[in-house]
Amino acid sequence: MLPPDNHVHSEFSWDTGPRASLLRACAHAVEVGLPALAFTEHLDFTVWDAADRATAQGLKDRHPANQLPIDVDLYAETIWEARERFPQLRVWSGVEAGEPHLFGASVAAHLQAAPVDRVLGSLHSLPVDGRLMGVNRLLHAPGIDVVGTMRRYLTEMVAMIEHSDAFQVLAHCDFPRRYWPGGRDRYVEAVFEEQYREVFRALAGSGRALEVNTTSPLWSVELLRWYREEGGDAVSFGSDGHQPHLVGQLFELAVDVVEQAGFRPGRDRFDFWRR
Amino acid sequence: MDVTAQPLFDGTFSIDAVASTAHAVVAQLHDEAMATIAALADTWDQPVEDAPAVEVEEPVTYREPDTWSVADEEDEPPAEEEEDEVRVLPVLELPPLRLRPRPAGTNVTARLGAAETAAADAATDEFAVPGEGRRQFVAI
Repeated sequence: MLPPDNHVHSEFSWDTGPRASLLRACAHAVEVGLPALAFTEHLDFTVWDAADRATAQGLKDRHPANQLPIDVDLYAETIWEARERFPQLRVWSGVEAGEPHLFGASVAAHLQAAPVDRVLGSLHSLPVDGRLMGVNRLLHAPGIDVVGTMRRYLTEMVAMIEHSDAFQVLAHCDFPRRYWPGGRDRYVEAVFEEQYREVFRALAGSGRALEVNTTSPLWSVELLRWYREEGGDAVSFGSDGHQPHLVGQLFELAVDVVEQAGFRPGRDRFDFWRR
Repeated sequence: MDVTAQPLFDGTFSIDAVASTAHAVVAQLHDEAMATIAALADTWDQPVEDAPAVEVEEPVTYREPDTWSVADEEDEPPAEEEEDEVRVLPVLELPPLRLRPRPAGTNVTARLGAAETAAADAATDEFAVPGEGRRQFVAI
């Protein structure tokens, strides 16, 4: 039995192409046997509120980017349509809030106007000289200290957990490894064990779930054991699929890894996996 | 002996002639090799002449990635772009929908109606409602 896919993007995310489709993603989810899926559209800010921590930190803007707001009205219409058309599937609404610790007021304002079922917290960018920069660019900047940048990323993630209660699930907590210079196979988890454990400790202490992301390189059993040893209780599965056919990708394998790390299905097929 | 006959080359060279020619060839090869070695020694670690010079202080202009997903145009050139453009997806055949309930309201939950809201609330993968002072979700 496959778990829900708690991290899916559709045409309502700014970084999906013309083939993205919320309804097609639902059709694919039914096809592969998923019980549920959450459309967690990107919630990234290019301008922000004076009350946001980003302002207090002196952040002025991002580097030129394509981030766009979510069309919440059409999104709500389409979620409703998906629920109507796929009654065998549980369809959740959601957002993936980027850097929610920096944009607490803006995230809150968005959710007040357009409440959702699921909120993921993500760290895609780091402040550099007063501007936010995507870490997938930053890692390839000339002369960059790659290991130092990764440590800085994980440290910032601890701050994100401690300063934001807006999200329920921590998404792809080692996002930069997707873009590791020289190839993702050269990334060594053990180099960052101490920083991973700090993230896991903070997350477990806040009672939230850790996402196993199947777009990122699949984690080792050992890494998930670190999470368990630090008190981690809940695991969420997320494909992070930006195209319908990627929904539920590699879930069979991910389930095996999570199981070997000591987690089991929750109280029903819609629940997170638990220790 | 017929002294009027032209002397014919018998296919052999004198030892002196062979040695002289051979020395000349070896000397030429040596000179060429030394010239090549000298040139390589001067230029082996130099950039190709056409390569643009990079100023140390030159500012770098960054642009945010086009996606938070894996494939980004600068990180990973879209090799299948042409295929993507011509790929025709089958029509998703779905029956017509009944009219959506539209009670007055300004947010998603209100528009979803009571039944949908109840269904969403009934989702069993929610965390237990946290106690006061330990919110896990922005209750707004």
